[in-house]
Formats: sequence, C-alpha cells, structure tokens
Amino acid sequence: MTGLATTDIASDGSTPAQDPADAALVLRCQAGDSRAFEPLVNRYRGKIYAMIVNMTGNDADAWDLAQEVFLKAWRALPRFEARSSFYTWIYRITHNVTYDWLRKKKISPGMEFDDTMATPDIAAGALTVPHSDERPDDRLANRELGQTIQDALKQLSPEHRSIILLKEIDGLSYQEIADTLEITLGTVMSRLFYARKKLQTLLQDYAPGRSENPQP
Amino acid sequence: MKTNPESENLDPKDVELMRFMDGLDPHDHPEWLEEKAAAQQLGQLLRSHLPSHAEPPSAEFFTSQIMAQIAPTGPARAGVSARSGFMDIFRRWCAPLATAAAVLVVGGMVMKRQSPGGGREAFAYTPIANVKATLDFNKDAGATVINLTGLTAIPDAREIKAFNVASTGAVAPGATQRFYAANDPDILLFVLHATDDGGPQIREVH
Repeated sequence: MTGLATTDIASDGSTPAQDPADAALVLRCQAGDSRAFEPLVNRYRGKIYAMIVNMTGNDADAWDLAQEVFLKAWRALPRFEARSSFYTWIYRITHNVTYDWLRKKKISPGMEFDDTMATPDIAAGALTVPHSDERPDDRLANRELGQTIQDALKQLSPEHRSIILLKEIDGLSYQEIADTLEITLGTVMSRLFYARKKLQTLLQDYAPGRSENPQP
Repeated sequence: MKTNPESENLDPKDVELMRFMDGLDPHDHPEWLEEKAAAQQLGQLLRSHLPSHAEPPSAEFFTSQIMAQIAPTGPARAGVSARSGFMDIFRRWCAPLATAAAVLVVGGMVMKRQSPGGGREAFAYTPIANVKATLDFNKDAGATVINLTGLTAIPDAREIKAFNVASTGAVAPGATQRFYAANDPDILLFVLHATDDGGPQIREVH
C-alpha cells in the first residue's frame, strides 16, 4: 500500500521531506554546531505549537511542552539516523511528549476543559486561522462551534485524537502517520476509521455521517 | 485506553471504504459517495476551526530560550579544551541550575505588550508572589532582557569580593578544581568542589 503524496507542512510552503536544507542543518547539529538548530526551531515551532494546542486544548502548557519537544530533539539528534524525515521524527517526539503530559494530567472525557482555547493566540502569519472579519453574532457562533469541536476532540482517546489531527489538520499520509506514531498502516486506518465515526457522532449537527457502531 | 491491536482490526470492506474516502482507490464506488462526502465535511469542519500552524506567543523569545539552553551542551561536541576559562567551568557546573531557574521564571506567559524600546514585552510567572518578571526583547541590543521587580534589596553591608582569576586546566565535570590569582599563580583563591549530592560548592581560601 502506498501513502498519499507527500504533503507540504512547513510555513514557507516547501516540502521538508524532500528539502535537503533540513538534512544539512541536522548534520551540522550532529557535528556540535548548535547555531544550526535555530533555523530548524524557527521553521517548525509553529507546526509543533499548533499540534500541541490542538492535542491538549491548553495554550499555556503548550508553550512549555513545545520547548520540551525541541530540547528533547536536540538531545536525541546524535541518534537520529535520517531513516525518516526530520519533520516526521520531530512529530514523533511531539506526540510522545504530549501523550506523556496527557497521561500525567489524566485528562479523561468531560473532566477538564480549558476555555483559553476559545480565544487562541494565533500568529498573524498563521496558515490556517479562524475568520476574524465576520459579524459579531457569526463570530460568537463560530467560537461556540470551535469550543464544541474541542469538547468533541477531548472525548476521543489520545491515540484517536492524534491520528485525526495528523490526517485532517497536518495533512499527513497514512505512511507518514505510521512513521510518526510507529504503528502499522492497518492500525492507522482502523484508528482513523473509528475516530471519524466517533467525531461524526459527536458533531452530527455540523458534520453528519454514518455513525452506527462508532467504537470497537 | 485500548492497548490490544486485535481490537482495532478493520473489516476488509471498511479498509476499502477508507482507501476510497481518502482518495487511494481509483475505482468508482457510488454506494460510498455519501460517506466520502461526510468524511470530507468533517475534515473541512476541523480545518476551519483548528490551526495547522500557530506561532507560540513571544516566538523570538521561544527560540532564544531553546538556544540558551542548548548552547553549553552540544550533542556531538568535541572534548573540553586543554585550558578553559572560569565562565566555561561555571556554565558546566551551573547549567542544570540555570535551566531549572529558566523553567521557573518562564512558566507561563500571561500577556504581552509593546515595550518602550520597541520590542515586545511579556510578563512571566515567578515562584515568589510579590516578584514580577517582565521579558523584553530589545531590538537595538539584540538581546532579551529579564526585569525582576520586588526582589529584596541586598544590604549595603554585604561584602562582595571580586577576583581576577587565572585560567586553569580542564578537569572532568564534577571534579575538584582550584583557582589561582591571575597575577600570581602561587596564590590559591578558592576551590570548586562537589557536595555529597553532586551540587557545586565554592570554598574560599584567600
């Protein structure tokens, strides 16, 4: 089975998986040149921060967690053998850091919701941002829908949450998701299948779909 | 949370459905068009409300914090040079403490504003209630300035010594190291050694 075509994920619209710039910077880092890490941080911090915010629904902790991701990546760079792309590798670290944080926090369905997500601090240069030029009542409705989506996401397991975010928000292919999460393609497909079904059930007023038997 | 992969096995028909929905199956399946449209609608709904890219607050400061923490600890750094300065030694001993302090100070960004120097200023969490910290990236200086207000003043009577310390030979991290006067290598000024729990301790001699 082959995955979807490699997707653009960097803020500058390039394709990091095929961009030799990442590999060259990684090699310099592995040779001890810490300055080479700065462009990697600048390039991926927006993707990593957004992913953590989407996974945790928590702006304040996302800042610290994103810091932890890059520091762990720096420490692990000597062991990075470029068998996967740098962004897949750092996505994996992001997943592990976020997963550990969620496990420690013991966030379970309905237990916790951070309403700071209702007013996310989105950078001016963000590729995908909620509309801000809408009428106040539309804006309120949009914000309520955003909160409803966050509530629904929090009712998914961390595994299902991460897989649907990697697929629908980050646009990763099945293979890239499998590489990132270190799971098989079959597991990718089954988790995505059930995550979609459950979300369609939870968001049936906004995205109706066949929702019987949503969870195995 | 599910841990048994067997429970996640999909029916072969559902595998075909997934491949069709995600554009991996070139064949027509009119019976699944409604499901494909629903999946696309769900994806669009998520993309319209969740960012795929969002710069962290105080993005420049975000990067500078990482760079400050990794600078002394290269992942593939060559061995310590034969002669190292006091600051190199100080950094090696105090890097863990500095890291912990940075994490404490920059525990949570709560707001930011334009600073008089033209840069962005952010307020940060401090572990002491009456101490306030502001972080200001000064463009002219090209540096991040941390301003702490509310700290207890240092008494005037407190004696602060300054030494012109000579460079000393490199030792293994954590090993005892002796510092001599720059103008007289026979005058031992102080000794840096490890405490029982591995922390740094300075013993003044001169």
